[in-house]
Amino acid sequence: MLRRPPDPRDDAQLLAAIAGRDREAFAELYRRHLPWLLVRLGRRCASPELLDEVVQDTFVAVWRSAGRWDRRGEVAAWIWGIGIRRLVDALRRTRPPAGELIEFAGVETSAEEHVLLAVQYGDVGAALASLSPELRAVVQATVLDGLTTREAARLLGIPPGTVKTRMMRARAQMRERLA
Amino acid sequence: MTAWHLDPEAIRRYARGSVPPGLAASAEAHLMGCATCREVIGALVDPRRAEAIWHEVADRVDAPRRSGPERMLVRLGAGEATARLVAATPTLRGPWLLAVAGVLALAAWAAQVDDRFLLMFLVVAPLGPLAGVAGAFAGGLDPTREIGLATPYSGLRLLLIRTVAVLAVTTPIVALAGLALPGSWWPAVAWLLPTAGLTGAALALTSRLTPVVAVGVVATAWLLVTAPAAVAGRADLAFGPGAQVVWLAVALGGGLGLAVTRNAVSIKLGRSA
Repeated sequence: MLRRPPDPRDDAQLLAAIAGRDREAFAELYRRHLPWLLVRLGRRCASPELLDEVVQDTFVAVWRSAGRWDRRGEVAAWIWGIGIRRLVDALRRTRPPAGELIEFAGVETSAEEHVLLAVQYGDVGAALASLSPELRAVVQATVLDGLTTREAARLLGIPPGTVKTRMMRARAQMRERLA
Repeated sequence: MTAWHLDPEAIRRYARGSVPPGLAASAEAHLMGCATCREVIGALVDPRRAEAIWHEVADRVDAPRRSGPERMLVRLGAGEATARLVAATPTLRGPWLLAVAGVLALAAWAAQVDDRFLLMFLVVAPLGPLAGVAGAFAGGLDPTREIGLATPYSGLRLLLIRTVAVLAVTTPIVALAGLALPGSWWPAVAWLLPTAGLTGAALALTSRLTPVVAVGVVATAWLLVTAPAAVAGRADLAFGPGAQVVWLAVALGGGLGLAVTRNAVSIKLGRSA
């Protein structure tokens, strides 16, 4: 099912077809969106089994709620919104294995990273890279992943109050750096 | 769509999880808007894993959706098997419950018209939940019967789960009908302990009889005792304070009997009427 000639329809058209119970369109949407979702969620979940389950849930939800997509923005972003929330729910059910998130402590910011960050986020990217891992995790969950304070707290396994205070600290540090 | 693309090597490292968080964040932001780079990632994911997940997704998409009550039970913490058992109980379906509500509404209305019918309501009230319990195991009605016969599932557990579910749904219906009764609050609650007693007795009998027969025996005995008493105007024989204590004792005794025989006798769910 994963090897077939490319479907000419774009994501929005596929989603509309899925709302009309079109299995071909669903298979195509899955083919296009599973890989990045798997990789992106994989960076936030240490257990491959749990990850597979979450991704499964996500696509079942896509199939069931395709008609509820509001036709604004990227389909990928909509799928991400479903996926990350499923992951948060799954993590809440299965706590606790991991600590605070998979950290990448001790990695120096490369020149390449600086360039990319500048392209995507400008100076903010550099300021983001300068944050400590725990602050950056909070910024990532709330700002980049689009979670609420409560959801971010569940994802990171820390109390919501801590998310708020870390976010405040992160904001202050970034403001200082950008000033 | 943006004009630039991620360098394939960077995508590979991102997919392997070996890029620093800042780069990962910008790669992710870019991927949201760039189908071309998403395609590149597609080649980096294990196709067998993608295929395996797809099969699971397809299975679940093809499976019939769980009904509303069933999903609610699962959310409330019931096991999936338990939720399915309760949801598949034939006497928890709309038409059946409507029938019970209709009969009781009629009895309540009759009691409004004439005081003598008040006692008829009390006679009829416990029969609604009881019939619900029996119907839950009637062979022709139960859609899970064939499966149940072939499944190594505790008959007692099945019996109790369904009985509790039926009582939990039908008792409020009877209570609502009771509220419509004229006069004192006594008739509105006087049927509760008799219902418990009759159910307990019926459950205890299921170690020897099928549920339908057990309920039939108990219901017949109930009618033989209460109907003449009601006609003779001696309702206190069946519903007075002393009788209520007896009903409570019967309910407890039935439960006890069931608990004692639970390992000795298998519940006969098989060939029910």
